[in-house]
Amino acid sequence: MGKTRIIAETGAGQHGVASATVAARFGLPCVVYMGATDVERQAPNVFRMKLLGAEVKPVTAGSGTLKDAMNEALRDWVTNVDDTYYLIGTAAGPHPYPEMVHDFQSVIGIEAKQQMLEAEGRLPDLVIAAVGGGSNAIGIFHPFLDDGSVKIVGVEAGGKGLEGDEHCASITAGSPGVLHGNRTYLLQDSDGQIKEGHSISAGLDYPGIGPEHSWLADIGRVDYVPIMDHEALEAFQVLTRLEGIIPALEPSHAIAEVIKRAPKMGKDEIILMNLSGRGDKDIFTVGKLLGMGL
Amino acid sequence: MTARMDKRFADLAAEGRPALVTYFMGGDPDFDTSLAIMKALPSAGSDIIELGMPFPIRWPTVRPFSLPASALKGGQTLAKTLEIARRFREGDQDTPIVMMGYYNPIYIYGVERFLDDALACGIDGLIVVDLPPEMDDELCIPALKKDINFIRLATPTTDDKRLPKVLENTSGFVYYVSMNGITGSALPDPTVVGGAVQRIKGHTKTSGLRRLRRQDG
Repeated sequence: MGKTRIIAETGAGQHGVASATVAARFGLPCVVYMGATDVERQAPNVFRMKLLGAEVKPVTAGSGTLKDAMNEALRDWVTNVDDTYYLIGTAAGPHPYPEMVHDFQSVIGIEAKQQMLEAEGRLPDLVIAAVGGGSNAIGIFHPFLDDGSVKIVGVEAGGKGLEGDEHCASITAGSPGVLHGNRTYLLQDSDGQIKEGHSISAGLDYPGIGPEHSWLADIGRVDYVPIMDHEALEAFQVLTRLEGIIPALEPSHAIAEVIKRAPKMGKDEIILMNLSGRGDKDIFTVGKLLGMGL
Repeated sequence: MTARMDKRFADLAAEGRPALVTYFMGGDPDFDTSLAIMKALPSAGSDIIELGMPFPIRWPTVRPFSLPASALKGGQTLAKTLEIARRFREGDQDTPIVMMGYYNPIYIYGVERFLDDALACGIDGLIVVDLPPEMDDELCIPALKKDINFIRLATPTTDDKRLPKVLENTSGFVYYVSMNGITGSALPDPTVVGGAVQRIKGHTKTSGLRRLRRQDG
């Protein structure tokens, strides 16, 4: 493609770290746009990106979250399109990005399916993942979409509750609109202006969702449900205590949904959940919320 | 109304001068001030007015969209932006008005309802920056059928292969984004822009509107 510079947007910093890593591997300069709010609450990932040689540009516009980072990255791209490749991390955005992200992220689903068949000799009964823009979810869902016996659930950020504006449940509580070059469910007011939204987790804090998720919701293949901030926070602690694994706040939403559903399922039924990120990056945020200074 | 813009360009051609097209954001900093700004534009030399519809998104290329916050804070809505045009039109029947912005507020308002209200308010054209030609059935074709120009952006990266597609259903004029990046952030090289304009002119022999009328007739 002849491009000599990479830019990316990131919310939780996972995609920023991945982009910085690949840029370091190939010796390309890398600029990561990240909302100023997220830079603060995801400091460990910011440090990782910097260690890898990337430049992290905090975006103060709007609420300083993923939407604003995406706006700035798109502005950079249209200015420097001659030498720059925009490596979009989320499953939203203009065509063909959602399709590309779904293809690349599907590696996790393909491997999970293969390993499940090797380990258990059959498909899981339930596949579950957290959904912000929806990249990790589309990756694990995709190889199972045609397996009718597999129930699939996407977990949206319910924030502080769906009644007010402080959530990011685009499908559960939003309506169709056009943003960032795709038609999808959005958080918007009656005049078509985009709301800011809120989530405890930076990676789910986006007022839209990848268009393929909207389609999967409309055709009834995937159920989308909200999990509140406090439920995710509880699940974060439960997994840490029971399994010794500190999960990121994003998949903590999926864990909370698993905790709700598992008691109602048979002992032999299998749940496959995408633990899409580790929680080291979130310990400062969680520590503050639990009243433990770090 | 396409006739008003056709007449304006014909008059300018007769005078032998180019059009000065000016942009301002509807509702910034408030309704009354922006209406006063709009009313003052023709006597200040504006031949065609672009009326911005605020939307808090900053892509792709248009710098004035970085300033919608104050308009939205003032309670500006699409209905109020149309009202600015209607009030302006009461005192000026000659200056073409082009509404410029993003699609979502129009989509939520309802395309048919929006086009009817826009016509009633004296709107002559639309620039909706996030509707590429692949989406012409959404707004472009319905607008042309109601006699409202649909003006599209071409950029330095719109090559000769893409240009015919971009221009296919446009009318009124072509908005050439004369540099990569945000408009106004740096000055483009006039020589380069001149060459680009000649290149685009090679593709603009038949406007989409004329083609549409031909098909209908």
